[in-house]
Amino acid sequence: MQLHFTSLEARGYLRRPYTGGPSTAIRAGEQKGSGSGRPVSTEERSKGSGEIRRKGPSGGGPDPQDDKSFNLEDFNPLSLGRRSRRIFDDVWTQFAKLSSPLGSQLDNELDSLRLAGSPPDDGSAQAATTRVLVVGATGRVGRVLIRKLVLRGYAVSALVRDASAHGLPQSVAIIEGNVNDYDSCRRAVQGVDKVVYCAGARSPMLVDEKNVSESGVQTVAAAFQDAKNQAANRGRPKAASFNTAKLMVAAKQMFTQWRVTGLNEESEDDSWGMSGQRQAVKKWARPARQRNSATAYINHRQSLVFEGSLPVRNAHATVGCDLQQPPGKPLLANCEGLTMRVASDGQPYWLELSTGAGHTYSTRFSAGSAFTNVRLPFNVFRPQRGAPPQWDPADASHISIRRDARPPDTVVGGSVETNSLEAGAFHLEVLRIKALPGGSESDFVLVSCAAAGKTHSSAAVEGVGAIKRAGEACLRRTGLGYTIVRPAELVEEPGGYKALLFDQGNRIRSSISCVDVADVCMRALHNPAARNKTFELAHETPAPLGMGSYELVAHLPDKSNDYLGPALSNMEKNL
Amino acid sequence: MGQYLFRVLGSQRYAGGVKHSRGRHQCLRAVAQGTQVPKTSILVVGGTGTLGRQIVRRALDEGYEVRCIVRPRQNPADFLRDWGASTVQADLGDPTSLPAALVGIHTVIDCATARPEEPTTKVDWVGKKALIQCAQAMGIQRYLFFSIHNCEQHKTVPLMRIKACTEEFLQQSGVPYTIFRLCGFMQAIIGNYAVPILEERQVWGTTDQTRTAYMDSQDVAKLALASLRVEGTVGKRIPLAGPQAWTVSEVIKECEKLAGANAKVTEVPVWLLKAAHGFLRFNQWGRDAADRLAFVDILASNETFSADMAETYKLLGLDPSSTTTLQAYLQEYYSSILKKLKQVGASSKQTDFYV
Repeated sequence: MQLHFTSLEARGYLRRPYTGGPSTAIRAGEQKGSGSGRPVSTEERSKGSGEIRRKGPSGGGPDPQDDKSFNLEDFNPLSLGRRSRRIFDDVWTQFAKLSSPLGSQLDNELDSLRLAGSPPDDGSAQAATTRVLVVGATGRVGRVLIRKLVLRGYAVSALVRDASAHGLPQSVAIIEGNVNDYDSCRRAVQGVDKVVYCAGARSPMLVDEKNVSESGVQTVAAAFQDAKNQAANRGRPKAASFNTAKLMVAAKQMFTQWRVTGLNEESEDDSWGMSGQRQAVKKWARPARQRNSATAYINHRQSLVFEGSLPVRNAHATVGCDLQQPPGKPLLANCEGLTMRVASDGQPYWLELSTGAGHTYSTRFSAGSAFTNVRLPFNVFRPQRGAPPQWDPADASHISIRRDARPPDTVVGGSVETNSLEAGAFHLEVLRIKALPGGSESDFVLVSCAAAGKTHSSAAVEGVGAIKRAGEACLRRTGLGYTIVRPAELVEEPGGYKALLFDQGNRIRSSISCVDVADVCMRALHNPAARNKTFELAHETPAPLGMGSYELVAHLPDKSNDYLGPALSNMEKNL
Repeated sequence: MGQYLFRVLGSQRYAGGVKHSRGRHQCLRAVAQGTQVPKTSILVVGGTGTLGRQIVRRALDEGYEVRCIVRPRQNPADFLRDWGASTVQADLGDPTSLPAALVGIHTVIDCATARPEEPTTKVDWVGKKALIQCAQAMGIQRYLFFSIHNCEQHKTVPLMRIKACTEEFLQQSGVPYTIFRLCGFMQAIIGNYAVPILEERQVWGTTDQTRTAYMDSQDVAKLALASLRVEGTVGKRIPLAGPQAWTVSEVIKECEKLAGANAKVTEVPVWLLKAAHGFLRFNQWGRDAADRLAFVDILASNETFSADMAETYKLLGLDPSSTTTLQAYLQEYYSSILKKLKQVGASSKQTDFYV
């Protein structure tokens, strides 16, 4: 260092950049090259020139452009030395750069400008503020997905089973844990905005598969939702945008207003069967004392119990009330659907929504004897009795649950049931009904598997498929915005150059690269078209067998085009 | 200096040894053939450079397992590991370190070149020769090499001569190779012209009429990785040129237009560079420096560095229109840097400290 000092002072009088001739300039460069800190100083200088310097009142040293006139300060040997050294450096680097068209000194700056390989359409615009939890980070899809996310500037967390053997990028926050352990899941979802679940079972045993693909999904989703709700309750600003907090439609004391209506009490119905003979049989089978009955009350669990008996064909009973609309804003505006926690006898019931104009829309649901969540997205509601097919859930003013008498076909088959006193009896218990708020993006991306496409369909494969479907159902019921990707058979090969096939309906029978699956998962995080969609994914096959009559959308993936949006835009939601 | 000389001598001795000890390499080859190497395993040599880092990013994004050679140094290239590549410590200047880095590798992508402070011959010729010999001995199944356009016509320029010789060496080595011949990177323009113009600093231009078809290094990376998928590229020399060839003054004009500022251009006459080059060449201590200036011979020739890319795109199955033009590249640069500037609030920042 001292050496530099003296030699610079000696040459301190040099002012103009190149009038001094090349020899002096190059000596400075040469000295740096063989001297102590050349690489360091190169980097520092390049960093400096990558930043934007503006002349301002707080400007540090004297500007080299401003030294046209001398004052006493300029004769300070120290500053003269520094200035001349800088000029030498400039001259030398410029000379060297002039002659070489290859290579750049500003790689780090260009990277930090995000000029490097990240057009905004793949979601990287939001990447800096988004933390993604990847479950299954060491798997075939997860490994690539993590790299893709990191390259685009996402903050990434990974839930891994064994923190010592992972080989993940350094910038990834690693949480050791198990998908079946709620506490470790809760730790993993801390501060996380989105979850991608691409874990797979480590062994072919169905128990393992069930742990990972069904209960694992449930646990992670529950932990994610709990963490989000907790953060929202604490009023964290970041969590305010999280809107899976469901709106209560009916629960506990709200059920006191539910009334049984629409019970047609006649035991005789003119519209009985077509043939007199059959009618006679029925009449004989049904004792005269049987009447339609239905009651609704609130039990010790503070849930609504709707029970009764509808032995008469075509009879129906309805329980419901007007929606308690908050002033100003319709309750179901901007909502995606309803979710209810129910237990029943496994028979079909209908949930009806009626608008102020008197149109009714309904959908069927059923539940087992244990309490389960039932998800009823609005797009599966069908118009009743000539109501217009297009409707807005915000117009809904009345909600009700309807029970239809058992259709005759099921009765005729079993004479035991027909004769039984319990024929037409029903029992439904509703703990609560909530509305699922809508949103623009998915919160949870699940990698499942396509059911078709397996060349040899064995019992084990079917078992796995059933478990995966159950896992998907778990996720849908949570009310999180979801995207379920069902890839065809996964192959490990480079991705990004084969045309992709997006489909709904188990028709795909080819393979797909893990890389393309990861790319779709990543793009689905911020693509509104991907919210609440389930779709199969495969590489386009040269000759799709038996698929000629279907129109499949194929898009060639590229970094610079958003293929996911167009491919998913006309797919059915909430399937 | 002493240590450096020792290194060079040592490496030459080793390189000589490689030629004669065939038994050892047959052994190595047997090892390499015994275990199946996954097709997705790539070694990038020079992964921290302008092109190398784009190749690493692109390869990771396409799902390759990327390994990078980094030099054993105090501040290692952490960003490569942050992206998900693995790194091994090796040095082209020390051929004994290379075989270990090549174990389990299917494809070698060689985009290394000497840093400004390093001697060109040691890295670009001795080191590359050792790398190719190693690759041959260890049964590497694909070797991508980046050369310079028309390098065989400019043998007076040391780097061009070395590239031409390396091409020849690679072709004779028997390694399944693909050679890409580059014209120039747009990234170089940023440091040379775009930043100085924005900062209202002195811009250095030359008086020559040499035209260069600059190409975005990301596009180069895209084309290079596309070639891995196309079997027809084995044994080919593929030119890589941008859509349009530019002179330096045209580039400066474009930058001025986008930055909305007038550039203070200092035109360095070619004869001055030539004189500097000539002076340095005759001084022992100036050899390396002279090599850096040797491109002046090309500037003086007023040549156009461009090539017809139609065949390249056809071969690689890519769309020529997806390649970034210089206008679009500079536009993106200026818009993003001006945006960043607004966020920062245009504060003065002094980072050059000379003590």
